[in-house]
Amino acid sequence: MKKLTTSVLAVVLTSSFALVNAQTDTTKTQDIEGVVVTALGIKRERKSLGYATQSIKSEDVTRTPTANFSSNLSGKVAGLNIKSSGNIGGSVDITLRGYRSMAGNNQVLFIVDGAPMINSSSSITSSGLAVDTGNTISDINPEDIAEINVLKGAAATALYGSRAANGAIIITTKKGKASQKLDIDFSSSISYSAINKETFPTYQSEYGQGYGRGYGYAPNDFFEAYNGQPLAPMYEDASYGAAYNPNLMVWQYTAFIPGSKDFGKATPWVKAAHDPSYLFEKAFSYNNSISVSKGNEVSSFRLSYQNVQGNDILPNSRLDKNSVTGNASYKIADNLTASLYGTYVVQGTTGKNPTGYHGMMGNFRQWWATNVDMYDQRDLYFLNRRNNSWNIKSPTETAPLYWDNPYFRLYENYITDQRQRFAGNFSLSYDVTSKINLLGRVSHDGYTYMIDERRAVGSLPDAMSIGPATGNQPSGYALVNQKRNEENYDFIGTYKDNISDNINFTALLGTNINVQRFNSNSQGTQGGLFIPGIYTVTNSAAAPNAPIVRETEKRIYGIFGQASLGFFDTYFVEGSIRRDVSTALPVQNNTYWYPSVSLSAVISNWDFLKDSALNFGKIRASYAVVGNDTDPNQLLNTYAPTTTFGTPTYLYNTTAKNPDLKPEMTKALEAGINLQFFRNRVGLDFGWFRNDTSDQILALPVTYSSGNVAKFQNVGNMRSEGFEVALNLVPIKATDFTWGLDLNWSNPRSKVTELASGVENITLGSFQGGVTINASLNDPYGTIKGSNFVYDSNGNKVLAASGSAAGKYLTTNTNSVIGNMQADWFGSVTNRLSYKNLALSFQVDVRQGGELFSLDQYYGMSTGLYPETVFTNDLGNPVRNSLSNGGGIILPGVINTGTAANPVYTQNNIRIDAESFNAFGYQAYPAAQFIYDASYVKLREVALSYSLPKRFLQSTFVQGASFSLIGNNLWIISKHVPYADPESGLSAGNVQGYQTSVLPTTRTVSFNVRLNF
Amino acid sequence: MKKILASILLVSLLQSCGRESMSEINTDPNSYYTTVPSTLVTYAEKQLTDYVTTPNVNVNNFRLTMQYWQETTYLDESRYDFSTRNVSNNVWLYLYVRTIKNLDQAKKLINDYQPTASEAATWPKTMKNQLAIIDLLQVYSYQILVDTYGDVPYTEAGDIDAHPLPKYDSGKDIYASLIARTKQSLANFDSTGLTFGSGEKIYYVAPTSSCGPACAAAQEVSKWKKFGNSLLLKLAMGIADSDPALAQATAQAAISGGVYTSASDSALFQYLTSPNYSQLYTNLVASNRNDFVAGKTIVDKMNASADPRRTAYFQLRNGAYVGGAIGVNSPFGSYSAPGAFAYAQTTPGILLNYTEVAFYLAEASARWGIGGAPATNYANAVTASFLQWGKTAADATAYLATHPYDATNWKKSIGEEAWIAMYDQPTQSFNFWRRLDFPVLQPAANAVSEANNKVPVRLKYPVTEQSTNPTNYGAASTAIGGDELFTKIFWDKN
Repeated sequence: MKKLTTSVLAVVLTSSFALVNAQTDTTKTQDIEGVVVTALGIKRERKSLGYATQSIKSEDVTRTPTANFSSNLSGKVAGLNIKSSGNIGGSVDITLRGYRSMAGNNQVLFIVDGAPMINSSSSITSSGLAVDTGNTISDINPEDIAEINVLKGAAATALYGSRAANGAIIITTKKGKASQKLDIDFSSSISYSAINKETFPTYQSEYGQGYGRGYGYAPNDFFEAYNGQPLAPMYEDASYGAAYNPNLMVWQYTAFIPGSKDFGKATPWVKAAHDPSYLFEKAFSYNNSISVSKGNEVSSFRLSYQNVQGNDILPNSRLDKNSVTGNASYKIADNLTASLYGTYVVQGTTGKNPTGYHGMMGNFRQWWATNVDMYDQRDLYFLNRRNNSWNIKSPTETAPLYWDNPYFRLYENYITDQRQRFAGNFSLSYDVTSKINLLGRVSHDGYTYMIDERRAVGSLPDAMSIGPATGNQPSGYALVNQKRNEENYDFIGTYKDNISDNINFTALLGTNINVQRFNSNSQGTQGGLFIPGIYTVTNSAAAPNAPIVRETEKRIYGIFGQASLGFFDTYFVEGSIRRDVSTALPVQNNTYWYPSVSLSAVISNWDFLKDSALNFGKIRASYAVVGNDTDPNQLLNTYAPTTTFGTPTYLYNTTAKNPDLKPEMTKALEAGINLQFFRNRVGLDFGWFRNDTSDQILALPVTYSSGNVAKFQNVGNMRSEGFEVALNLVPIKATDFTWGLDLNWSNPRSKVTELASGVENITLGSFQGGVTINASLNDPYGTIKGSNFVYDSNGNKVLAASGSAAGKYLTTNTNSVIGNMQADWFGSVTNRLSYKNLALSFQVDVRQGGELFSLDQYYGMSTGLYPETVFTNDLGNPVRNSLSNGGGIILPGVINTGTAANPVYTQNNIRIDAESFNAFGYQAYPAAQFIYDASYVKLREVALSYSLPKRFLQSTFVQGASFSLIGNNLWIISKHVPYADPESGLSAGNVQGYQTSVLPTTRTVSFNVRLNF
Repeated sequence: MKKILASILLVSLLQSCGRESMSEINTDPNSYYTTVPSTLVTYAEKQLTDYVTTPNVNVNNFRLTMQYWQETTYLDESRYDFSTRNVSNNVWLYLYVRTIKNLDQAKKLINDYQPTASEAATWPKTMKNQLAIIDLLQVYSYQILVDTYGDVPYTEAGDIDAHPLPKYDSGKDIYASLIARTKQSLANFDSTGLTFGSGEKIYYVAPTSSCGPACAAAQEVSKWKKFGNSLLLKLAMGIADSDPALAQATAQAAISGGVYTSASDSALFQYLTSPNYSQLYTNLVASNRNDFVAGKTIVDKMNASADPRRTAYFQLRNGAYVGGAIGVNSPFGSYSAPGAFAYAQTTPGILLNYTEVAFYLAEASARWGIGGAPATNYANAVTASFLQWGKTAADATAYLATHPYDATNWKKSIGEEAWIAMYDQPTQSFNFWRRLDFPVLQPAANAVSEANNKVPVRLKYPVTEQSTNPTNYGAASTAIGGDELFTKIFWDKN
C-alpha cells in the first residue's frame, strides 16, 4: 500500500505541476484566507489566527447517510481521529491530537451556534457484558450543518474553559437566506449494509464439538455413549472433538428437542452447512429530511425535519430517529438582533448488541461447535420461541450450559433505549455603537435517556448488563433512567476599533456560568421474573434490590477577557485570560486562572515574496494554559448500601475520595505554517504541537493492602506531541474536468512523563486473559501488559524442557509489556474528480502501527475453531492425530538442556499432543502471541454523484436535483488482525487495544436523491 | 464603555456566591457520608465468609489445590495457573478491602459515637465489646493473609492517607501481634455490655420475652469468648513448628481460657435465600455451570475405607463415587459431582468450627501433651467430623477401629484425617497439610511451569503489587526467599 501513496505523489510532482500554470484559476482567494467561526461564535479572518484550524464542508458530512454524522468526519481533518464502534446506535470516539488525559476525558468539545452541546459517550458495564449507549452528538441532523470548523488546539478554545482543552468542533447551522421565495430542500437516502466476511471467523471443517478425549464412548472416546451409540458432547463449546465422518451417525442436540426435524434421530457427523455468519441479516436504512427556509432584510427562519429508520445486521435490531430543528433571527432595531435555535430529537433503538466476554460474538469467535447449523438454531427458536440451544446439558436436561440459542437471545433478551433531547439557545445582540457590541445568550441542552434490558424465563442465568440486581439472574428486567442537563449563561462585550490605518484592535470581556446536572435511577428485578413475559420492575421473584440513585451538579463560574492587535494587516497578536471557579474542587483550590497568547504573520505580504508562486503564506505560534476541574462529588468518602442481608448492609467506598484535589493544568504549545502556491492549486498546512497535562486528576490504583483499590489524586504528567500535515492539491483544472486531492496526516504520540512518587504504572483497564491497558512511567501511553514469552540471550523463545509443561512456552508473569495501543500515524487521501455534472470521490484511510490484544484468538485458537488449528504437521500427518499416530506439534524455540545456573539452549525437539484442547491458543502460548499489529488501509468512502443540468429543470418547479451512489468501508485493503476489523474494539474512551467478542464490520452502499425547490 | 465593564464585573461578583453553598452543590443527596457501624460488620462478615468458602476460580482455588475437586473442562486453576486470573488480587480485595477496611471504618464510627443519655451508662462496655468482636474478625483475616503469603502489609495497612505505600511486615511479627491482640480482645469482653444486635450475623442471639437484650448480649459475649480462645489456639498451632515455645504457651492459654466444646459453639455464617445464598450455590447452581467434579485423590482414599461421609461429600455417578484425575479433563457426565450440601442455598459458611478446633486439640496434645490424651482428642476430632456431616457416633467408632491414632506417626494420623475432615474448609486444610506434611499430594498433570513440578505451598503476591507498591513488594519477595508458588512461608518447616 505504501507504494500506491508514493505513486500518487509522483504524479503530482511531475505531470500536474506543468498543468498548473496553463489552467485558469477560478478559485477565489476568499475561500482560502476567508472568514472562520472561532470560539464563542466569533467570526475571525483566518489569516489572523495564531493557531491551527481546519474546515470541513457540509457536503462531506452529509454525503453518507448515517444516524451518527460524527463517523463521517473520519479522515477529513489532520489530527482528528474517529473510531466507530459499529454497534447500532453505538458510540464514535472522537479525539484530536491524541490522548491528553490519562484517565479523564479526551473527547472533543462540540459547539453548535456558539453554545456547547453535550457529547457524552458512556458505556454501561457489568462483569461480562457492556452496553454502548452511544455518543450523544449524533443527535445533530447533518442536513442542518452549514459549516464545520475544527479548532485543534487549546489556544483557540481557552475562552470555552476546561472542556475545550481537547480541541473543539464548531458547528454553524444553516440559516434562512434572504430571498423572494421559500427554499425547500429535500434529501432521501436508502442504505444497504452487509457484513464484511473478512471481519468474521472462517471455521475449520475437519473436527466437531468437544474438548478432546475422555467422554467414554468405547470405540471413539471423543463421544459420549448413548444407548451404545456415539453422542456428541453437547454441553461443550469447542470444536476440538471427533474428526468429521459423513458415514458416522451421531446423536446430536437436534435429536433431543421435541419438534426438531431430527428429533429422535442420529445424524451424520459433518460440518454444518450454515456457520454463524448466516445469522447476520442485510441491513436497510432510510434517511429522509426536508427543510424550509426564507429570509429578508430583518428576519430569517429555517425549519427542518429528519427521519432515520432502519434495521441492523443482527436480527431484531432497529433504530428510529426523528428530529425537528428550527432557527430564526429578527432584527428588532438596526442595532438589536434576537436569534434563537432549537432542536428536539427522539431516538430509540432496539437490540443493541452487548459486548464483552459474555457477548454473543464471543460465542462465535471463541466458543463454538462447528457442527452446529445456524439455520437449525433459527428453526428451533421459531418452532416454539423457546431457548432451544445447541449447548444443552444432556439428552434429558435440555437447558443450555454456557450459551443460549442465538435467536432466542436476540428476539427475547434484547435491550431497548430511547433518548429525548431538547437543545436550544436564545440570544440578543446589541450594537451599542459601531465599535461596541453586547451579546447575552442563554443556552440549554438536556436529555432524558431510558435504557432497559429484558431477560426471558428460560434463559441462561447471567448478570444483567444494567440495573442493581446481585448475581446471576435466570430471567429479569432492569431499567435505567438518566437525565443530563447543561445550561450556559453568557454575557459578552466586544470592542473593535482601528487605532490607526495600520493597527486594528479587538477586545472582549465576558462571563460564563456553566451548570451541569446529572441524575440517574437504576432499578431491576432480583432473582428472576415472577410471572414470565411481563417486563416490569415490580414483577420480581425476590425482593428487588433498592434502586441506585445518583444526583450530581457542577457549576463553573468563569470570567474572561481577550485582546487582539493587528498591524499592517500582516502581524497579529492575541492574548486571553480566564478565571474559573468550580464547585467540584475543594474550596481552597477551586479558583484557577489560565492565559494564552498567540502570534501570526502573513509572510506573503513580505515584499520579497510578493509576486512569487506563493500567493498566501502565514506562520503562526501559540501558547496556552488550560485549567481543569474534576467530576462532582469526588471529595468526601462515602458508604454505599448493598444487597440487604436480613439487615441493612453498607460498604465503604473502594475508591478513596480526596479533599485536597487541585485543578489540573494543560500547557499547550503549537506552531505551524500555511502556504498556498500557484493560485491556490497547492496548499499546505504544516503544524507541530505539544501538550503537557500535569496534576492529572484520576483514580490512581493503589495497593489493595491500603484498604482501597484506588484513590482520587493529582497524578503526574502526560505529554502528547506530534505533527500535522494537510495538503490540498488541484493537479488538473480544466473547463469540464477537475481533479482535486486532499491529504491529511498526523502522528500524535502521548507519553507518561511523570507519576506520583512511588508509582510506576497506572492500570487503566484490566481484562480477561490477564491483559491490562496501562499508563506506565516513561513509556508511551497505553502499554498493553500480559504474559510474554521467555527469551534466551539470542532472542529465541524458550520452552519448558521437562516436567508437566514440557514442550510448551515458558511465560513471564502478567506484568510484561507486550504491546502499545497507540498508532504511529494516521493518514488519509481523498481524490475528487469531477467532469461536468458528474463527480467521483474516493477516500483511503490509513493507520500505521499500534497494537491490540485479541481475546477472540486467545480462546478461539485454543478451542480449535480456526483453520490454523488444522494442518499437516512436519511428519506429514494431521496435527490433531494422537502422538502415537504421528500427530502433535513441535513448537518453534529452544529448550534448556543445561541447568538453571548454566543454561544450554538447544533447538526444541519435544512434540506436544494436539489431539486434545492443549496445543493452540492460550493453552500453549502466553498472551503476547495474540498481540496483533492494528495497522490498516481502508477504502473508506467512494461517492459518485450527478447533478441534473439546470436546462432539464427549466420548465419545472424544481431548482436543483442530484443523485449520489456512495459506498462505505467497501474494502479493507490491508490489515493484520485475523477475522476481525482492527478498528473494532471497546467503546469510546481512553482504553483501546483490546478486542473481545467484536461485531463484524459492514460494507454499506447508499443511494441518495437531493431536490431543491 | 465604563457601564459595560461595570455590568460585567457585577455579574462576575454575583457569581462568587457563598462558599458553603458551593460545597453543598458538590454533594449528592443520595450519597451516604456516614453509616451505622453494624451495617459494615454485616458486610465484612459476609465478604470474609464468601472468601473462605467460595469455589470461584477467580478467588479461592484451595478446593482444587487440596485435590478435593477437579475442574471439568477449563483446567487452568487445577494446573496451578493462578496468574492469568490474577487470583491474588481478588484474595487481597476480599480480605484487605472488603473485610479489614470495612471493619476499620466500623471501629472509627464506634470510637466517634456519642451515646444518648439512656445509653451513656452501658456504652463504654458496649463499645469495648463491639471493638473486641471487630478485632477478632480482623485477626482471623490477617492470619489467612500471613498463612497464604508469608510477609504481608500489616502495621501500615488500611490507611491510604497515612501510608499510601505500606511496608510488608514479617509473618513472624504479625503472628506475635495477632496473638497479643486476641488476648487483649478476650480481656476486653464484658458480659454486662451490649453487642451489635442483629447486624452481626455469626453469634447474634435474638432477644426473647424471657431473655431480653442484655441477656441475649451476654450469651453472645460468652460465645465470642469461646471463639476468641479457639482463634488463639488456631494461631498457636500455626506457628507450632517455627516458634514451639510461643505456640505451646499460647495454646495452653487458649485451652485454659475455654475453647469450643461442641458443634453449637462453631462460628458459622448462615446464608439465606436469593440473592444471599451461599458461594457454593452461587458457583455451582446460580452460575449454571458444571465446572467441578470430585477429585480422584480424595475419592479413591475414601472409597478405600468405604468412608460413610462420601454420601455427604459427593454424589453418585453411574452408581459409584468417581473422581476426576487431578489436572485432567473430567467431563461432568462421567464423574461424581460435589455433595448436596454444595447445591443448597442456605448451607452455612464455616469460619471456624468445632471439628477444626478438635483437630487442633489433637495436634496440641500430640505435640506437647497438653489438653488431654492425644488418642482421645484424635477420636473426638474424627467423631466431630462424622457428626458434622450427619453421620453417627457409631459410624465414627467403626471408622476409628480401622483408622486408629498412631502415636509413632501422629502427623500422618492427624494430617490425613484432618485433610478428609476439612473438606468444606479448604483454606484451613491448606494449613494442616503444609504443617503436618500429610497427606502426600502429587502435583497435577500438565501443571504450569510456574509451579516447578510441585503442589503450591503459597500464593504469589498480587501482580498489581509490582506496579502499585514496587519497592516494598521487592523487599518482601527477597525477605521470604522469592515470590514463588513453591517458596515455603516462615512456619512451613518441612
